[in-house]
Amino acid sequence: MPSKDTTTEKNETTGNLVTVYIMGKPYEVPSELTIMKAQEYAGYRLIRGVGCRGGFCGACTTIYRKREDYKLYIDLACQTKVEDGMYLVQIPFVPAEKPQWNLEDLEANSDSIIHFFPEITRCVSCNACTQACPQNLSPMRAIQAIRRNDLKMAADLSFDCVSCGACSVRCPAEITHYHVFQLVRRLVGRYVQKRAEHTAERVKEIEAGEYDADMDILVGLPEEELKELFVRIREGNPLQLPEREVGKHD
Amino acid sequence: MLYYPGCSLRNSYPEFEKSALETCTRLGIDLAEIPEWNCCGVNFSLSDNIMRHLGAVRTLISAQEMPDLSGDEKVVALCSMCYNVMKRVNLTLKEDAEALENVNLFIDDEVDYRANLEVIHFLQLLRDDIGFDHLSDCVTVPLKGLKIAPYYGCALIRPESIAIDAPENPSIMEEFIRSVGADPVDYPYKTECCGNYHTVMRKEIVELRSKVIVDSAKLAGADLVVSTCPLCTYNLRLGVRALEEKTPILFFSQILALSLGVNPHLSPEREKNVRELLEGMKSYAK
Repeated sequence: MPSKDTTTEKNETTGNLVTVYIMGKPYEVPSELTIMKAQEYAGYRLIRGVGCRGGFCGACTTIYRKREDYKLYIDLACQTKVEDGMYLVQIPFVPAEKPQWNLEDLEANSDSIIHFFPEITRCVSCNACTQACPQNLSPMRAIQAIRRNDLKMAADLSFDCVSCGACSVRCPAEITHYHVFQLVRRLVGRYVQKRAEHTAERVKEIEAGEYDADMDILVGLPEEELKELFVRIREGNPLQLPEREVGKHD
Repeated sequence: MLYYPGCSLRNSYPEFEKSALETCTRLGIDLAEIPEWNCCGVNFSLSDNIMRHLGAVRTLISAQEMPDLSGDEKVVALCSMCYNVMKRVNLTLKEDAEALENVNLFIDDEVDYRANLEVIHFLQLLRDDIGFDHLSDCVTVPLKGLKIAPYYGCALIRPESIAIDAPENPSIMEEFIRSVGADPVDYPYKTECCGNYHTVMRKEIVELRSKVIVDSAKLAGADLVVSTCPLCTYNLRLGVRALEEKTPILFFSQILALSLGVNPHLSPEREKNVRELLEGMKSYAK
């Protein structure tokens, strides 16, 4: 199969262009690009507001409005396609002081959280945070779950938070949700959730040397064989190591 | 009956809720907790701006959307502060069509609130749905001879529009105390304010006020004081400490639990004190 030239592909799509506004300036960009790709297409070299490019890190949170639409939208630039008339602006991060806490000194209850983040008691339940969240989470429900002392629910509701801070920008109570949620999840992980006993058992097995022989075989495999083995396992087959040839890599 | 617990009962004073729920089981009261209720918005309780009270509105919507409702349900609160805020918000939405419309337009992520719920306090439930006469028939351990000072504070009776009884001289708590077999103590400070949130920044104001209230109840012969409010309870206990006193400040539900022979969930520091009082009471009864 001939390899595709991405540059010509870009030029071939000029039949379907949309206009987006970056820092107030209009640019014509192909309609199938994400906001992030469109910025690069327009000639920007991104050194802020870009990170994993895979929808996980939250660095590319972008605020925009659309033509003839009063709503304020907030999405991740790497996950959202451009639309005609988008007015884009990016916030590389949201300044917020993170209090220092020591997990071992705390109890898993809402008072512990209110001690460090008293702002959460100012929540007026306006739900602006939920409307801002590019991950479609419900920060308000999580904050209110903390008020009910239901930390488990708050941790579950905030599990997919990418800490972009969009909710905190919109919050009239000036809550710094992502710092609050991190503390909640730490407390739940440390004190509420069941210990992962199988992990401790596996660590013991490893420390007892039960996998040393297999590891030696793996380390000794030639690259091609290792690749084949990886593909076989990825397809769902059980791990079957080839018989070890004694002395091969000793 | 739809049930609104409130944050203080889930955090600072679980004994209030636990004892009340024990009495409900005994009295056959079926409480259904509102799913994902919000904080009532007590921090903004004095604001008449309805946009500061969206928490209460969302809770009422959540209650309204519970399955199998007949349409004119009651929401019962234990904490008198929660009662006060929820009741006032609900009243505003019932009486002010514009406020209701504004709120419903703003909360466009939820169904509209239809303003057909009623907010009541647990004492009203005892008086109006159970009846104090019937309640006294259910009492298995009458608290005979125990002198109890009712403390109303503000939230149950002010402002007048949401008062659960005559605001100038309420008697619902006295009737309640009589129905559990105890003697209500009359004293002039039963509706005085405890100092409320001054407890955060101006503790001396709260101490001053609470000392006067507790001292007055003691002078009138009270063995203990009952309250309906977590914050009043906290503040009155400050007063007790400032007086170097031991008068227990209990929640009314704990007195009810004692009289019904169910667990009053007394905290360890009050358990001994209250048990001693009850022992003394028995010898008095002889």
